[in-house]
Amino acid sequence: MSTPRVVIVDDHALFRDGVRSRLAGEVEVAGEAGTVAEAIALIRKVRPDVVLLDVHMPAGGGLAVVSALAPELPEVGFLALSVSDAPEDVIELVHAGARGYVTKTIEPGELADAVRRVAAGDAVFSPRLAGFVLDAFAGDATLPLAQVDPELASLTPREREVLHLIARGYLYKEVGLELAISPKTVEHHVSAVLRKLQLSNRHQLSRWAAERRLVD
Amino acid sequence: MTRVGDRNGGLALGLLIVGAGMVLILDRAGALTLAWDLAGALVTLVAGVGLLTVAPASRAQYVGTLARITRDRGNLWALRAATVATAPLAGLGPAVYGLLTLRQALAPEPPAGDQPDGRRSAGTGLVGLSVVLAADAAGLTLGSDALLWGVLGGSAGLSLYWWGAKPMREGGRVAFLLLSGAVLLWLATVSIASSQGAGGTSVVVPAVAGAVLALLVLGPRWTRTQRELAAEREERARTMERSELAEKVHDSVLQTLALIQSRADDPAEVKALARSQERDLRERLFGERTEGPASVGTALRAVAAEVEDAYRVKVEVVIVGDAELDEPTAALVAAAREALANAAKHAGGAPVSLFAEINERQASAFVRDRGPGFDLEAVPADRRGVRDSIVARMVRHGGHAAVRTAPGGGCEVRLVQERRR
Repeated sequence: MSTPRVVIVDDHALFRDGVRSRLAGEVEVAGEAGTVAEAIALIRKVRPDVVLLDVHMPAGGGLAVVSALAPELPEVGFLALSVSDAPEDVIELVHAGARGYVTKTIEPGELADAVRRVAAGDAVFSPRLAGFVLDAFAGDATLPLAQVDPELASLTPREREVLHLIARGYLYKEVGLELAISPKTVEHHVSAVLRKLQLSNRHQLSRWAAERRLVD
Repeated sequence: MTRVGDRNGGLALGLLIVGAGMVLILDRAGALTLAWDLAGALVTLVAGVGLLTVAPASRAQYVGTLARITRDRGNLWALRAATVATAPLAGLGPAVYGLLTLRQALAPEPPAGDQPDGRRSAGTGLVGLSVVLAADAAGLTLGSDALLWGVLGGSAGLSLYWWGAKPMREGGRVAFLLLSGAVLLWLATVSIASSQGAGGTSVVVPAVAGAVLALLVLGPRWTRTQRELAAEREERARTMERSELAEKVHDSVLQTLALIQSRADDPAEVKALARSQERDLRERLFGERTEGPASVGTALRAVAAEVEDAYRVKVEVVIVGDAELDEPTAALVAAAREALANAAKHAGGAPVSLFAEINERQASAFVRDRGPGFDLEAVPADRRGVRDSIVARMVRHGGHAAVRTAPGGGCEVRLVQERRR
């Protein structure tokens, strides 16, 4: 596979430098942006494979960038990077079209791996995100998702198993080993979950996330 | 007639009403014998149309419910038409319109650029009033004169009251005072005249006029004071919150940065400091710290934090669901702590994962490390950590524990505790 072209979007130059040096040699950094407006213009111009996107920025944050560009540039993959573990931030971004979410403390090797996976059109679930999704799609029929759309609300048993293992800290290939399926099949399940998340009702989802945060 | 923001418009309106009041007084005093009500209707109509022409139509003319209704231009004209058409029904239309525009005056502080233009409201109101006057002159109004003047006077008074409660510019203040004076004068004339008609002046009339005057002049000031007091309180609370945050930042972040500088030669120590600081800030910013009864989730986060600090290793915590801490789940937390400590010792610096899922049926926790792994059977009998602290503890509380080497190396401890329903 060719080296993915990446745009780094973060309002802190220090952090952009850090990401750049962590990804050195693994990806091609096609540009950096420090504001939402800059990011939108830059991404339209350079059409990268992957955008590494900070969740929290002034003027709308990562959500504004994804909402503006995801429908128009379906070939660009957005990977959210955040220090925030608030589920409403993360879930909203994924819902808007981001293909995954990782925390900023991610190991350098794993970050490059995540970028490559997004470039290949796959989804990237950190253990945290897997945990959020398991919570949102819990089998409990009283949860909002189940009431809105039973089809979307239900994860297949296999999807649930996969998410469970990811939440337990398993890498995709370890999930594959554990369940005796190929890593490609693991990707397939994760992408299916991502799609369900993106198709589900946004309002219900964010309300759920906000409520969860209150009781967390 | 809630706000006349423009100085000239306000003055013109005030003078017009004062003039109308004078004409009214002269007429009542018998000095004039005009068809004054028709003339009044004509003057009011001209004034209303004039105001509507002068004031630019602005999108921000209405706020709240009115804004939703009038977003559609068709609705806007329907509203105006209804206001005018229902005017003969004891002045109902203009009165309702006046009260609806009150909502705009009541909105605490609409954002700049969203200020409704009072001249247009006043203009529409005057056009409505002219229809009322004309209808009254032609004897077409439904309901008695007293009802008509009551409705009109009441809504005008309320409008004035709320107008006075808003902070306003110089021109607006002058217009407000003139308008209040004119309305009072008019009310007094009408009531004196009607009480004379009913036979003799009573003391009730000046008393009522005085009360209305006091209300119009003092009421708005009182309302505004209350509002300003509330704003001040809010500002004070915000300031306090800010200084509290600054204090916290000082206590935690700055202290830690100072510590990090003094320990710069010990990378492990620096990492540990940064980690504990990150955790602390995260709790503050994202509200992961829970107050109230201890929950399984918070207890697990707390033990993970302890292990992070004690063993200088990162623990990735993911918790799904939660429940109140009870005796069996407390045993689970204690066992998880032991498993985390074990993992931290063997992980060789690699991050340790703690995943817990708590639902109505069971609570389970998984502690995974990426160390070399070990064989439970091969652990010497004198090594009590795993057997006693983890397995035996779980069994004693009706749960169970299993240790296995995870795929890809490392080790995973699985703790399961059934919960009473």
